[in-house]
Amino acid sequence: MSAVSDTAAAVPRRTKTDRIRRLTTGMPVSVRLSLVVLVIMALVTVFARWLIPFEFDQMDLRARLAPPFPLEGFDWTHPLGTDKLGRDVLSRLMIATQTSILLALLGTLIGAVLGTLLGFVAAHFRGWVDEAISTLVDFQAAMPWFIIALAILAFMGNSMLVFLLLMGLYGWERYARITRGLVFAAREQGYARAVEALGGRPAVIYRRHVLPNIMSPLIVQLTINFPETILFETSLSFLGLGIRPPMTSLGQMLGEGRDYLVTAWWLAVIPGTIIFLTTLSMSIFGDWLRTRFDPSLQD
Amino acid sequence: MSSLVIEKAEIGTPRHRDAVSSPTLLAAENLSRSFVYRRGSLLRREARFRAVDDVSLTLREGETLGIVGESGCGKSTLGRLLSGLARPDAGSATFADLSLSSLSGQAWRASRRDIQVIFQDTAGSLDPRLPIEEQVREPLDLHAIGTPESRVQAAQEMLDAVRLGRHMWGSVPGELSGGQQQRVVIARALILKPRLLVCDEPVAALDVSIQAQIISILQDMRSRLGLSMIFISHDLGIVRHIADHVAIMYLGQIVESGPSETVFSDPAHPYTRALISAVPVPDPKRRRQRRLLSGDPPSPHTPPPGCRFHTRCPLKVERCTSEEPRLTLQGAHGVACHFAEVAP
Repeated sequence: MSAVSDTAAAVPRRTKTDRIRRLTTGMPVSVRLSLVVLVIMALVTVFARWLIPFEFDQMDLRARLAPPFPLEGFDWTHPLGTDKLGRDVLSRLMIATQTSILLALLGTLIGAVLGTLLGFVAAHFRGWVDEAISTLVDFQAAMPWFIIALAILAFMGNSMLVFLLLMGLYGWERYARITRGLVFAAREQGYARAVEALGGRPAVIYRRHVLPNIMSPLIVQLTINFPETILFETSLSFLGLGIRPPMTSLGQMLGEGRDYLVTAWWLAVIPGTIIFLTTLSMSIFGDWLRTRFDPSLQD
Repeated sequence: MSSLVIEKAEIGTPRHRDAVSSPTLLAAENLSRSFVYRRGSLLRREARFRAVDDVSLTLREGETLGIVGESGCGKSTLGRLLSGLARPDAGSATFADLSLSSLSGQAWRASRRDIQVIFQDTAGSLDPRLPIEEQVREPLDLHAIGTPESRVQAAQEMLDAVRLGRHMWGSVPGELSGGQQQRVVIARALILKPRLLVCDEPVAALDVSIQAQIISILQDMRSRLGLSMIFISHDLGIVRHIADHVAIMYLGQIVESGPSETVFSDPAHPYTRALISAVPVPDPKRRRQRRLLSGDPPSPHTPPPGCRFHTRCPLKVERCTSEEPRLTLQGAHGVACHFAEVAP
């Protein structure tokens, strides 16, 4: 207990730039590179409509299967070549990236919100509610979700809503588990009890005090879940059960390119590389965030 | 069975204000609270111990009552019962005309405007992420008192009143020292202008120099707001300084109570005497007769029969092991001991 008096030096207020600077100091090169990749992906996702040189479904049968830069015979009109119907691969790639990332983002958010909410509900009501939710969590964790998603999509047909819901349900149980444990712990903390003694309703305590204090591990979980959701989407689309033509996604492009692996390998390799780079970058960034937020992992 | 009503001060006048004729603010009758320490099953009975056992007391408007005892004697539980944060198993606590144990939901939350508590764990009772100015303002937000602008102003006035400089208002609790944090907690508790403030070991974790500062702020706020206070502490010096009345607790019961001056200058219970003789006196020439107690207090799980203090009492006789002494009043001074009158 230090005996700091009022006249001691002013405690500096935290500013935004201070925080950003503190966050970026000592950031390893790999994390910086992943951040660059992620920023590019985000920009493409937001601005794809204005960046594409051609409409993604515009066909040109005279220029089919054109090779990409720097292979022999490429043409600057189609820097990444064209596919079997003469559609510009670069344009398709951007739209596919947009679709995949938006879907993964929405799916992750649905899972995060649902899981966090159920975690709060379980921790607040305890008793049989807690047991019911915990059982659901165990159910979800034990289910081969990918196989179930395959079956549901095969039965229900190609519905964007069903596809999105399936992605949202993928991984919600982890948020629920984390949130439940953290809320249990936070409720025993002095500040939650103190606000209760001030006359605060439980909802206010959760929203204003508990949630901000348990946000870090939830955000880390989000960054871990996001690449998995991208892989989930691309795998289903690759099998022809997720995004289907004429729409496109990274997985759907990969699936289409598979047929031309011998004659035009780039059709599969280019979207594959993008999937790989995005998920890897997200994982590296998420790992770094976790060590950053978790004091026990810091040296 | 100890049953005690702190009557109006007859011996020694209250030092802080004229509390003699003021009305009763808080009345506790036969409060008991026990906790389970071993769960029951088919094969064994549930085991409980009584943290607070049949305690009655009265607090008048404007008075400060000190509750003193060793750690584990149940004084914190008593504080929680008296402030309505915990419910008694038996007995009742009545604040003004409100029966604290029967309030629920909305009514209980509304009662927090009048009863506030300051906990020992200061650092823990502040949200580590919110700037202190917002935390001091929060009670007004919770109870929807005044306009948003008036709340900000009230919070700033309160921070001024506890002598926290303007440059600290935007800090988060981790950037403050323990004493500063405690002042934030005091400001947050008093911004509602409560009628009763229950302080549970408010300075136990602080340096002595900071303790004095906190106590002086509490006294200042007490006279400014006309607060009644319950001050729980194991520090006799501080209690003597701040309290009009004291109650000495041992193993969940009150063993002696009365006006501070009387209890401290003329203690009647052997436990109180031992406590007082253990307080260091800063004068090497003045030698005192020390009455050190031997051993730890017995386990509250299985309190000894008869007088609970007899296992450590220098005056113990046969009668003490079988017959429980009742708290008997002589004027405002109550003692639960068979030797209260004859003790040297």
